[in-house]
Amino acid sequence: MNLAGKNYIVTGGSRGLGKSIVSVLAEHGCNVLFTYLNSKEEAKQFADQLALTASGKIVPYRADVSNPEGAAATIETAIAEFGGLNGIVNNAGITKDGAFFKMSRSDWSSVIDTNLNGVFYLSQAYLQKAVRGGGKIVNMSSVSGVKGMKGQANYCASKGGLIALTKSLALEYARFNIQINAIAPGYIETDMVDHMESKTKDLLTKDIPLRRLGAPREVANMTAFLLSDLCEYLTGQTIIIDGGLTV
Amino acid sequence: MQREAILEQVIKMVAEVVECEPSEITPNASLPDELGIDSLMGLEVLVMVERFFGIKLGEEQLHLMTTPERITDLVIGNKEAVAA
Repeated sequence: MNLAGKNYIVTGGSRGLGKSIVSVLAEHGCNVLFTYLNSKEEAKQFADQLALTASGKIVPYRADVSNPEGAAATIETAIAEFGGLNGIVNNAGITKDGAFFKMSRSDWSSVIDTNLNGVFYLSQAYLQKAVRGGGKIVNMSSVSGVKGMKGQANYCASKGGLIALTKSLALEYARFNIQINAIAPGYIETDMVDHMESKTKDLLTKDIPLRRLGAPREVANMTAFLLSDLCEYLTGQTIIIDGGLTV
Repeated sequence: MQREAILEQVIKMVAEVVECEPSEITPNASLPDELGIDSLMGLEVLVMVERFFGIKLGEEQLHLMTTPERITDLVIGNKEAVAA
């Protein structure tokens, strides 16, 4: 897999899955600009730590991609830093779980704004540049976007929307040699799951045919593959990484 | 490159996008109305034109690309602007 010297943006790259994706891309010798919103110190420490071993440039960048200005500035900054852009990973996402009948409009809107509108803004800004030289987009969906989850109406809607958006954009931009795919992770060992009680984790794994949670790196490796030269004939697809949960 | 040669090349590109023979396209054929070229197909033509002629038109010129003749004007205008 050859990714050395390629330039990427990863949104929400200072924590969880995004952090793992940035690490794997850095190991492959990529230049990576990763966005963060609130975790400035964490982002800086992470970038400093990666810089010790990475051959590429690692740039932490504070941005709110859930608004068009923040998304456009992110694309422009990455191009200015690296001189070009080979792809973006729309990873930033939030949850505001709750029963639907008492879900507030702000809980609905903030999840849709970050998880779906943010992808619209960043992808549109990126595609305007990419039509001239091709490129790749990886959208981080979720098994919650493939099957329903109680108490996650907003999150499921955003992640399901992301799968549909992926298919639609793949069709529109195939003619420009731009591949657009999504990944739908199942239960992955991120901070969110780490905070669960072991009893809850046991209950989760009981439903997973492979009898374990996924490692962030497993999702990151798939992301790297989708961005790489080994994957040139795949577009509009959603790769489900869930240990067989949705089978 | 002479105007006729540029026009001929533009027509070839438009024909490729709409999947017809170049002979079916007249220089003044309306891209949206007669050839059914939507904004995305227009963008495809624009990228092909930019690449072939080595020029930069930009998306803001899309609304001016109404016929093969008009595209030819834009190509010539751009080349002259660069030469000057």
